[in-house]
Amino acid sequence: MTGAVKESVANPYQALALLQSVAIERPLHRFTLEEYHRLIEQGFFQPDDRVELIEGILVDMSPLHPPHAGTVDSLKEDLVTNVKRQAKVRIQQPITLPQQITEPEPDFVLAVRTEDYRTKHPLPCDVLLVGEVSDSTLAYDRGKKAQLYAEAGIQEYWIVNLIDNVLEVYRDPVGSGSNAGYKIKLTYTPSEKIAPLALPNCHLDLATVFFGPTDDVLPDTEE
Amino acid sequence: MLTAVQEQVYEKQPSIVQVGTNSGKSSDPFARSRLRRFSLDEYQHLIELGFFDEDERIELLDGLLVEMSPINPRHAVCVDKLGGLLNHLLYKKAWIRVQAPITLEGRSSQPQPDVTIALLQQEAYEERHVKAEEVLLLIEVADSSLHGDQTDKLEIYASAGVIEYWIVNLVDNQLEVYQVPYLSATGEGNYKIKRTYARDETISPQAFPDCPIALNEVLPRGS
Repeated sequence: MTGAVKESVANPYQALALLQSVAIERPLHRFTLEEYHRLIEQGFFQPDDRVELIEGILVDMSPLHPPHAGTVDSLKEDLVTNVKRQAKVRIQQPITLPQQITEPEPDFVLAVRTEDYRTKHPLPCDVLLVGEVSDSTLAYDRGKKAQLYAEAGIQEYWIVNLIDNVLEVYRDPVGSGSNAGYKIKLTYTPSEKIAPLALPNCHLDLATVFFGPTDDVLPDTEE
Repeated sequence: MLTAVQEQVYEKQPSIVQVGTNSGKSSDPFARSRLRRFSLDEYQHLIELGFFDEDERIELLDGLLVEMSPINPRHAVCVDKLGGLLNHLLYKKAWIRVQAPITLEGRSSQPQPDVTIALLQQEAYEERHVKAEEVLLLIEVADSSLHGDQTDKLEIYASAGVIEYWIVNLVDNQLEVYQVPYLSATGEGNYKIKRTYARDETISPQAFPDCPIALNEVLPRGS
């Protein structure tokens, strides 16, 4: 309760703008990646300011609901356990798509381990798998995000669809610009297992992803 | 680890799954409600950090960084004539600014109207831009921006309480005069009075009823 109130106070003009804003159909100013990085370095954004750069435009990331956050937690544990040291598991960290002037923060990324990404974020060629957990953002994740990831040539994209409780797996990126997309879409139900294309022997149990590990409930005896 | 059904899907869908396109449903891939909006302070900060070039024409509308449309010669000449005429008519009666920013605090907006007639207080304007309550008349010269000037800008100016707004409509070669701003029940700004004047008519600003402007001196000949 107090959390919600605090949030609106933390960013008053934003709330105001949302309340009063009129439909503005004018071309928006676009930043370059260098400018975006400069903004971050110069401390322009507040710690609670969650933004990503999409085609040069700053977009607010939607606040995380508990189902979303919990699913990301489960995925993280599962991925770290199963992927072991075959890839870097990155959770809600940026990747850079230079051609698209885009720097999103996907919910999870598997990246090659050839470097530790302290000097730059993973580039499309470093990304083995990109994933989003979707509830309110499903249309956006299937639309704009899929287009961008495909255009950048990211070979595999997962959407953990919390609306329908299925995993959507997209493979084989093709096309450019607004025509970019994935040739293959596979849908997995929570009773199934799945392995990323790049790590065929790393099987994830989707029941755990969607419903949490069975041993997550603490025994009564524990204080 | 594909199930039979999925393998079928795999085989039967060699064509592109158009996940990347919005199939023309919307011209707005960004879901405008999610765009990061800037406060006036942040906008000022961006300017101070040197984010915009001298020749970059940008205005802040409801917290969005909007690219202003380029000025064509006909538009430029019309602004020149208005500036000259008003400077002559209102010398030492009002402060006339051409294509300079005004600050609308309630709306996180800092547009650059073609002409602003404001209270005569030069010293204050050396410290900060003109505020909404100091504006006596705003004028936009509109060709390609006509729709926006009649909708988003009109709404923002009215809700900020700008008492009079003129659109020199170069598309229909007429002057549109908007007076008496009010807020609708839903909080949207609008003007109660709209009058349209043709090229052979004469009009005075509401604040200066004794300063008639012959519109044939402003609107281009012909069309």
